This record gives sequence, structure tokens and C-alpha cells, in this order.
Amino acid sequence: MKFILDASVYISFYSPTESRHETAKKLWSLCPEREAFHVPQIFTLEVLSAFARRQVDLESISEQESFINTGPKFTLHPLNPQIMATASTIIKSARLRSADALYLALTHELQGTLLTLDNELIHSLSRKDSRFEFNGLIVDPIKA
Amino acid sequence: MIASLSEVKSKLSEFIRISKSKGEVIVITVDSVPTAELKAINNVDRQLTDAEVVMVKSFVEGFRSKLSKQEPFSAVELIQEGRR
Repeated sequence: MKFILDASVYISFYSPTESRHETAKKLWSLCPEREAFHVPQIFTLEVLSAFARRQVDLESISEQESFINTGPKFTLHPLNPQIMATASTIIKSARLRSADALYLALTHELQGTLLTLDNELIHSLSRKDSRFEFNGLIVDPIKA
Repeated sequence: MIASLSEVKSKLSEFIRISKSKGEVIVITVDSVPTAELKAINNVDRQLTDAEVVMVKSFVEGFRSKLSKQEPFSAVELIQEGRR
């Protein structure tokens, strides 16, 4: 099983004062400790941007960048034509933001499981007007 | 990762190791123009070693302690804000 990690879980996992920190820890622990999370390349920028807007110091942000980009816990997936085409189909089917669609596209392509705290994302593909046949799973944190 | 042809020629083993361990695609430039890619095969399911597991835990604990005194917030809202 491949686990795709949404940036919201990552930020919350590191932040004891975040409102769903304990849930994020639970979601993180679903991935065996010897396995890497799979993320779209945009993940690094989202994390850095979120920490920067939280006024985290620049040295720590650079540590995060290095940990994600060159450490063993993350496999970054480039936005190749296949991922982009799937994301495009998802956007048209479920009317999502581009970054949300990239996470779902990667999950679909890897036939993996998406870990996210974002309710909008969790329920996006089960909306009545969504016509995309999703080839992955999304963990509902309430049931995790 | 982007590297020139001369860099790749001189450090080929290192670039292969990076690509294999991280699943990273190395874009090779010739005269500063992206020309070719170097990527490992079937590398996405590699298991972390004992040392790597310890390193990850240590990094997480260290970074979490840095953020332990922040004001309460919502990560979902923070990320959604960045995606708008």
C-alpha cells in the first residue's frame, strides 16, 4: 500500500498547537515507519509556504526543504504528463482546485491511499456530479 | 534535480545513487539546455534502513519542539489559503 500525504497533515503533525494535531499523528502512523510517503512535487513548496506564513525562521524552513527533498521519508513525484492529464480530468469532473487535483491524481495513479485533514478534499469525488472513477482510497480521519 | 552533462559524467555513481534512493529524475543539460533525463527503475518501494528511521524520528521530534509554543491555528485553512 502506498500512502500519499497531504500538506495539511504534514503541517499539523509538526505543530502541537494545531487544532487537529493528534489526528494528524494518527494519520501519519498509518504509514509503516520503514516506508516513504508519496507526494507530488508541489508538496515541498506548499509546506515551505505554510511554515513561512507561520513566521517559522528561515533556517528551520531550509531544514524542512532538505528533509523533504533529499531525506528518505518522501518520494517526490514530478508532474509528468500522466499526472497532469489525470489532474485535468479530475478538475473537470469534480471542480477542484489545481493542487487538490494533483494529490488525487497521484493517489489514483499509484492506486494508493490519500491521508488528508481536508474535508472538502475527502468528499470531493463522492459529490453527485463527480463523474471520475477514482482508483484509490481516501482515509476519513473521523474513522481512522 | 538539474545537472550539466560534464557534472553527470564526473559524478555518475552519485547521481544514480540519488535517483535510486529518492526516485528523483536528473535533468541533464547540454550548453544549459535541458536535453536528457536520468532516472532509476522501480525505486519507489525501497524500505528505510534502521539509521534512516532513527534520523526521521529525531528530525520530527526536534522540529516539533520548535513549534510547540505557536499560537493555535488550523492547518487545513492554512493550506487552503495557499491553494486559493
